[in-house]
Amino acid sequence: MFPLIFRFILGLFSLMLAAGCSSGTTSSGGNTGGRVSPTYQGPSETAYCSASVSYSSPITISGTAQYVRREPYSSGATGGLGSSSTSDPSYPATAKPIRYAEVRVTDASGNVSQCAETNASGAFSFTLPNNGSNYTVSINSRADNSYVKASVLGAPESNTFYSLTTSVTATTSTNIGTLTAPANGTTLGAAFHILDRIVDANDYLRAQVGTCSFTGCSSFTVAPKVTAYWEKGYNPNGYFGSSSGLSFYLPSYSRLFILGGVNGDTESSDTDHFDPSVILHEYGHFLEDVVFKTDSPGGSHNGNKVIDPRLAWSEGWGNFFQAAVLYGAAATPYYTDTTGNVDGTTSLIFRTNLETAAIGSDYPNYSGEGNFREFSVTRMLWDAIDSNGDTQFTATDGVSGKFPEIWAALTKSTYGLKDSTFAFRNVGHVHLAQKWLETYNGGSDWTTIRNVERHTASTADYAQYVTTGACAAVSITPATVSGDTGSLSTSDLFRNNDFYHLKISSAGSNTITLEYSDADASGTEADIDLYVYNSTARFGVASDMIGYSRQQPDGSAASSQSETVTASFAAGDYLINVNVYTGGSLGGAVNYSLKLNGSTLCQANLVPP
Amino acid sequence: MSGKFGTALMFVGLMALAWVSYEPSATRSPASLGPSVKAKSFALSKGDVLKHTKKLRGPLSAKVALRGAKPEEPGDTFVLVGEILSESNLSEVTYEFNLPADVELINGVVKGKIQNIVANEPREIELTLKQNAFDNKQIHLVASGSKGGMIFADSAQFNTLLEEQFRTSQKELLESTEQNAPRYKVFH
Repeated sequence: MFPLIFRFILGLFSLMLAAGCSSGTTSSGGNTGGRVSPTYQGPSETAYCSASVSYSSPITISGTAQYVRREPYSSGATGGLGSSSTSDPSYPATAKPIRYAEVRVTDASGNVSQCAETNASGAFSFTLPNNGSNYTVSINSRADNSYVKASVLGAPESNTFYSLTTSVTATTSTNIGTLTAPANGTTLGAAFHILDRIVDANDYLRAQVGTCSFTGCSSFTVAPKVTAYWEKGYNPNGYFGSSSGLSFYLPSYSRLFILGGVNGDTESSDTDHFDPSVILHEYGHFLEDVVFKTDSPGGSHNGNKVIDPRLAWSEGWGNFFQAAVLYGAAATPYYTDTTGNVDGTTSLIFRTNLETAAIGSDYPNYSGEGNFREFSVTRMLWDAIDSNGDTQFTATDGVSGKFPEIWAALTKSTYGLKDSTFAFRNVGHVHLAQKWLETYNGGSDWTTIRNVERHTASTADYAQYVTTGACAAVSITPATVSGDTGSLSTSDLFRNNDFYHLKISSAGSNTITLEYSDADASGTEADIDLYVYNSTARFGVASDMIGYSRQQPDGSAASSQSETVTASFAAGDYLINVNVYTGGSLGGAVNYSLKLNGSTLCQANLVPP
Repeated sequence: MSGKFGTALMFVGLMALAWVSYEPSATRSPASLGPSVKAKSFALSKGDVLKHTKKLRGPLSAKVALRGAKPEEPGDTFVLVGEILSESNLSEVTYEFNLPADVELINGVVKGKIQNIVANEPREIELTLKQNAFDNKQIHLVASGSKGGMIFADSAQFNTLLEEQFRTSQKELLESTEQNAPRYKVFH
């Protein structure tokens, strides 16, 4: 046997060498098409052209810029992405103005001679010296102004924007007509479509919360800069070693990656550059990351499953936000994602009604389960703003036009999602924040829309804040759940788990104990375990665990059991998970208590009741 | 040093540190991440290399894979297998292969319906094809279904000549992403 110290040194030495190999940014060879990583910083983006130049005796050049976008279509269970032609008789494309985009004018040597921007109609106008020289006019896929701050670039490895260009000769004032970015061929229209949907999002927020009347609510002007990476035929999931089509947002980097096709194909493969639902959904993730705050662990979601409430909140918010931007308050909203287009093979890759829950569409089966389902979160938020009064579970939606309350709950630094005392943020925190608005700040009563979606108006079922004190034991009843194989990955997070938010104020060793006993001291004894997670807290992920204890009970329902985790804690937020082990006989209800260093942990308030 | 060498060293390091972590002990620390004391242990997962959102995907997944030898020259026949898997029971799934020009169907059905899909039980569709061209051709499969008012699908692509190259490229790019990920986590 090697001494422990030798093993440790060997491991550390090897890791240091490996770290040396991977310090900074590295490329793994020439087979990645020049791609390195979604986090790769890349070369600096060319400075935005913003300084207008004055010329004596100038000429004026004017024109209009537009892009063409394919339109998603659907009829019943069929649908897809339409034509690239605006005159197609069945599924015509639409020409739209390129709004608020950078206009860069360069001379024959590439020097910038003038800067301008398109307006809301896509029109632009600028002056040049009357010298008979040739200039290149570029309408670029980016904007940095009071309407929108966004760059649509090809890849982090190049950080280059897309340009719609033409040439002019500076001899007389002239209108150069309409420049068009097409939806086929170069598919340049896709880059401008992505930019335009980000304009839509900013326009929506300005209209809704340009002035936010609630205390501490941020009035919206324009969102911070976002970068959207897109390349025709490129699938960003390649960064993660997969060929499955993927658009995603990279938290902390303000980067969207929009699916441009697969292995060069855009006609029969999944693309998202003409799917407004996907673009706006991902931009919604950017907003929660940069404008308010998210604790989503990320991960897969199929739209019909009990999932981590932080993920359910984050994805539900994204689904809602796209609907809010795309649909009027009286409309029936959808989330629509297409694959391919009519020039190849096309179909709906996902489409669902966001107003009405049905069995099989993230329908909440139990009171409180809605907090754990993404489309239930989406529908609840939609009910807060729509003008329809749908009825479900004997409740009727009686709320409308309350986007400002949603925004206030998300952006407030005190008793809102940006409150630094919050952690493991999920829709329960949003409910807490909204209830504070209702009680103290003129907000409305959301009881009906919570009941329509079976939401718990607090964090009671996930990330309940706890502090030491005196309180009664808590009960949990093991449940038989379809698809549960006894593993953590199939454990029902709502029915067979409880979660508590523990704040450790100073670093040190701590002992967390779970004590439990059979509720009626008879029959088969249930087996519940204790897991303690760090602030990342991806369920079942070992590297996020501070420790765990999963002893088998002694088999006597009359005796109490305990699980103990002793570990060194840094100051911060921790998630305590009480998990029903379902790999054996389930047993009946148990009563349990959690203790921190011998003191009982009890529910406490993050927000005044 | 190459990325692969660095990865190998990383692996050696992790194994050695894991060796430390899993030192058998007569008095097991309750907080350790040591072996489970359950009769039936259950695995802890590793998680993604980089935290990121994921696009909504329905319960269906489609794959296309080669069965046997790939076509080397015009006139070669080859066998493709489409695999359709669902995370939930579905009464019916519609599938369709899109065959490009120069790829000829020899045997099999390119478009059809599969009834009574059982969760997590893959269903296969086999096609025998002939490639009548020298260059790479892309074959696509789309599988579609619906449940509870949700409509969903998945698509997959197979490249007759370049499939291995694309997969190698993806693997190398994943390694590059791992090497450059700022929050690369050690798996205990």
